[in-house]
Amino acid sequence: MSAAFHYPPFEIPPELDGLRREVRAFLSEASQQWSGWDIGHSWMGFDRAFSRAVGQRGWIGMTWPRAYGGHGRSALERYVVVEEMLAAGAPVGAHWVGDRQSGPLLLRIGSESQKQRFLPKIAAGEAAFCIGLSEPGSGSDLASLRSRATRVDGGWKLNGRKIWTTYAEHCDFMIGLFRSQGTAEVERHKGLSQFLIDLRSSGLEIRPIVDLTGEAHFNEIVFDDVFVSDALLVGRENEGWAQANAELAFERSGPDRYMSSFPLLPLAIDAVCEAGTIDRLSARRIGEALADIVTLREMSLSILGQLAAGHTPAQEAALTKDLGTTFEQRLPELVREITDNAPVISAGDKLSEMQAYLMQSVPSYSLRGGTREIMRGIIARGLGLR
Amino acid sequence: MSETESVDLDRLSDEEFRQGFRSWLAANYPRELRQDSHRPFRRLRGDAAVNWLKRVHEAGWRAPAWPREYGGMGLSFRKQLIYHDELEHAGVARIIDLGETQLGPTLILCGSEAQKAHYLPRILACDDVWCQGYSEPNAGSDLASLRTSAVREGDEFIVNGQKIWTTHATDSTHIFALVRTGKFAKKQQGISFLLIDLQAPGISVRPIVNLAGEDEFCEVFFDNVRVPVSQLVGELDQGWSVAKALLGYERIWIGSPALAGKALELANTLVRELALTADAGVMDRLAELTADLHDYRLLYTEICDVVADGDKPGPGVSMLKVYASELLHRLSEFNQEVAAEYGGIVGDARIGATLTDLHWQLMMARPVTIFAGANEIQRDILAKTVLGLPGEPAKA
Amino acid sequence: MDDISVMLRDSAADFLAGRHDRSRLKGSIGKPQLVDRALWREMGELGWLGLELPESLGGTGMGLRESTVLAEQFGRSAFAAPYVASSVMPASLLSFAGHASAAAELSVALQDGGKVLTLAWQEAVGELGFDAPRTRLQDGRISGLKRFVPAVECDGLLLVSVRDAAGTAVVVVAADAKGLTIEHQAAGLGSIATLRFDSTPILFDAPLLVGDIVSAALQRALDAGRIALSAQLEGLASGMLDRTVEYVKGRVQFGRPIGSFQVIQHRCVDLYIAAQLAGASWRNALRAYERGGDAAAAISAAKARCADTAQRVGREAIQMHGAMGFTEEADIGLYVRSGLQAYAWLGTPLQHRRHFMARAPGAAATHV
Repeated sequence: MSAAFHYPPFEIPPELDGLRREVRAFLSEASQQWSGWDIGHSWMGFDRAFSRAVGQRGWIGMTWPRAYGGHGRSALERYVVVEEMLAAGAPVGAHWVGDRQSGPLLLRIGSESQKQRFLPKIAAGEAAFCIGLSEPGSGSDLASLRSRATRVDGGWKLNGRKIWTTYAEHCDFMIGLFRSQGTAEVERHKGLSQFLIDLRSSGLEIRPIVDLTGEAHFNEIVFDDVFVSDALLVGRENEGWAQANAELAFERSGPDRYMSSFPLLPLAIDAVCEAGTIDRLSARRIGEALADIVTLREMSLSILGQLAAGHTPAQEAALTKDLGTTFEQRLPELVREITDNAPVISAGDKLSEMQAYLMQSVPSYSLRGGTREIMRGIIARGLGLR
Repeated sequence: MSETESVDLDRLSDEEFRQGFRSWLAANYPRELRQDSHRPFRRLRGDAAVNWLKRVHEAGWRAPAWPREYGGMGLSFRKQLIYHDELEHAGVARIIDLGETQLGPTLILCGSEAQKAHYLPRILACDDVWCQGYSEPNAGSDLASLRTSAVREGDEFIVNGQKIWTTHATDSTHIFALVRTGKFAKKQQGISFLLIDLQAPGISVRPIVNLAGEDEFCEVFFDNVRVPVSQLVGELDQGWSVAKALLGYERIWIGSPALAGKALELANTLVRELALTADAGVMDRLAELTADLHDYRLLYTEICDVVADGDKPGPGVSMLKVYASELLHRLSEFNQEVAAEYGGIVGDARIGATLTDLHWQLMMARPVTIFAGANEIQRDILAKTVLGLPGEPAKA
Repeated sequence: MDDISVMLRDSAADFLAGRHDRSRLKGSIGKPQLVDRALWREMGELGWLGLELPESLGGTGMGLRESTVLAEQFGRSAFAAPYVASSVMPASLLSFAGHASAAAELSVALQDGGKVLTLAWQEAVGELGFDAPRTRLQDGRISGLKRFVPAVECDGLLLVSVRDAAGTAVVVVAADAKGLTIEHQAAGLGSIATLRFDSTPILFDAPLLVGDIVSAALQRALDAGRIALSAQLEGLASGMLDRTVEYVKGRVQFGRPIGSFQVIQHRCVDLYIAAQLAGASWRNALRAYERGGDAAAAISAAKARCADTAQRVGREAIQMHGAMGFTEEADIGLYVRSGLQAYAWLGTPLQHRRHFMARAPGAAATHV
């Protein structure tokens, strides 16, 4: 068992403090106009103007080559920027997927023309991406995808439905996974391909899904003979499953998997200090939360170090996500207990605004990006249990 | 003539019955054997148990659930509840008397006239002390896969195999065991229920020391042990239904909140002795545990009332065992934790004016979630019978 | 369960199946919802409103026991009507009223569902009791602030606890009276309001209740409200569990219903046990209330248990429904939202457990 999970320590070198200060200064300016409700959205907040401003500072696509609009900086530097953005609850949603998933995917396996066409736009904060994986009948069981890509002259026709795509109605492009060969029952993982899809294509309809926060963060997308040209096939035909999976592993260990509700904590600490209601119990609870964050950060950094060294710590990432999302979910409840906040919004009070949003949104944390049950399945496999 | 024979217990009101038993216990139960903060879950075994049960028997308070025609008290279910309540109230140590609680009622339901006439009086008088031989090394929660075999040879069965987790076999004279007598498509078939004298040649018993330091469990080995055919209970190959006949009632008694009540008393003592009553974190957790036990007692009482009104215990009673045993875990862990450094002592610790053995209480709480059908099995049963959830599909 | 309760339960289930369209409640997150008055009047016609009223005020001899039967059914269906706030609590309070003509008039309005009554007793966050209200009564007018008041309709009637020279009293104020500002906020499937009284005139020329009885009457109304709310919370939990069990039986992933996975089964079982405990707990509180002695510990235990259970079942129900559970398309969200309001209103589990501990050290229960 001891061999299954490794978390070698990894530290961010002090040279990066300058960058951190720079990001903080930028954010402290920008955050003046965000309400607590906005901050609660964290990386689900979608603000194109903000993304463009971030792009102008060179903080999107930081590690990509300059030739594609990137900035040739290290993964560590990027981590620092992301960490600060999340700590402030910045609305990074318009460039989040492109910067974290779609861009790196294209860089790795995209064609030269795809790289030239899309990467500079992402890095400038101009092109917003979403991911098309889940379908109504395939939530956790992605190998049972049924949406189909059929070969036609010069390209492909897409038919079927995708669900739980984030902000599709605001985005420009989707990277979607479609069945290009065989059937869900027989071929399962084989015969899936990835495509770059312009969300303004004809035959494509986007239907918002209202969730428990009262907002529509997710969509269902219906494809009715949507044409994509050969040039927009990503990577290799029928190899989409392996490509998409590699992409998912990146998704699991980032600071976004434990910091989604983080900005609540400093607000709560300020509130109890100001009110003078801090007792031993509250102090202990806050201490526990802090201990959790520090540990989760160590784990997340360790995974960053391992990825940078060329390893694929899939088990460790799953474990960190499970612990991290549990923590993110628990934080609002804990803060409610220590601040004795009524479950109502007082306009202008960032703490109560954010609290109100989070009480409704936290259930999704253990569902998005692979459910808690799927993470635990991966962890169990690491222990040799399945 | 015993004390209770002179009164018709059925004609006593519940309250009169309660008072009668309470005063008898107060006058007769040895003070030094009471459950207290030192040994909240104290048990009696061996001679101490036999001596006490003989006294109980002589006074006519033995076997509350057995019908009178077999020498029991023939109490209504409601009076049985009072009986157990008073044992708890008086701090009477628990006794694992499987002859009274399991074999007797089983024989009364399924035994032959000869078996009843011979064994029942001997159980009441403690002439025979019984242990149970169900589990095997590879048949724990999944009893249907047991392998100890009994092969018929003339008027005898030849028994070979091994039983494990046999509680107090070293204190016992006899064992009632499930053995395999045939092979059928359904694994529960082909199992028979046998009564075996532990003195028979070919039997050896090896005690296993538990985490509390007691040799509570045993392994029992059978090497060509000859058992007369007359010792078969019920029909050949139908032992599973014989063993199952009493499960519902067993789960009610196992679900008793009594042990958790003792653990909570200890929790209150510890919090007081260690001056933790001003610590809001500790007190919030204690409040949660207190409320858990409070509400669990209510649920337990509701379900017992339904049985007392004449309904057979349904599959839902499995939840009693699950909840009570896990609450006991949480309580004993709380006690261990708030005791800080005292919690690390294996053996007696004096905390303020209280002498207690925290290690013992922690460890004695452990197996409750495992024995008599592990909690995982109980949850499987509840999922299928109460919630109607589907079984696992057969492997292709 | 006695015959009347069984009858009530069945007729409530029929009514809800026919008249309660959950889809109408959707898509209104964050917007305060007013009471569906047509439904409220129908409930009046069915004889469900004001069950706690004494026969002298037109009551039918039923009481809180029957109200809890309805409240539990309303929970099971995530029914939005403010039954606890606008029927159970006002009826309980009216049964103590000293102002006979006012009580008679209000009882009629309550029973036929023509008006929506509600109690305004709380003034600050976290209050469990009502001692010494700061809202003042002087010369037939009241001034002060009341918070977290559910079901305030624009033509509603408010039963307000106040203080005057003689002590505490309860007065009646029309929601459309001059000098009253109402600020609604969305809460659960309805609304709660902050009420600012500035020399607002009272109705009926005199208080509804005065003197020593006020404190006992308010306590009894809060007790009744908490018990009925506990039943409703347990109903919410049981309703969510039923839906979840149905869902996991039908949802197929990896070639089998997810309800056949042991990890899902055991979680459902634990939620089932939790719901059973919640039921036992509020029924005990009801019996304690009916006995009439000090029911405080039993009621606090029930409110804490049922609120925690609804919250826990809601959290797990969303998870087991998967992403669909997080949307307004599944009904679970309505249950969760309704539970969030009932969780906090009339005291949170933490407050109630502390109260329970203070009242019942050792918490020896009535066993057998």
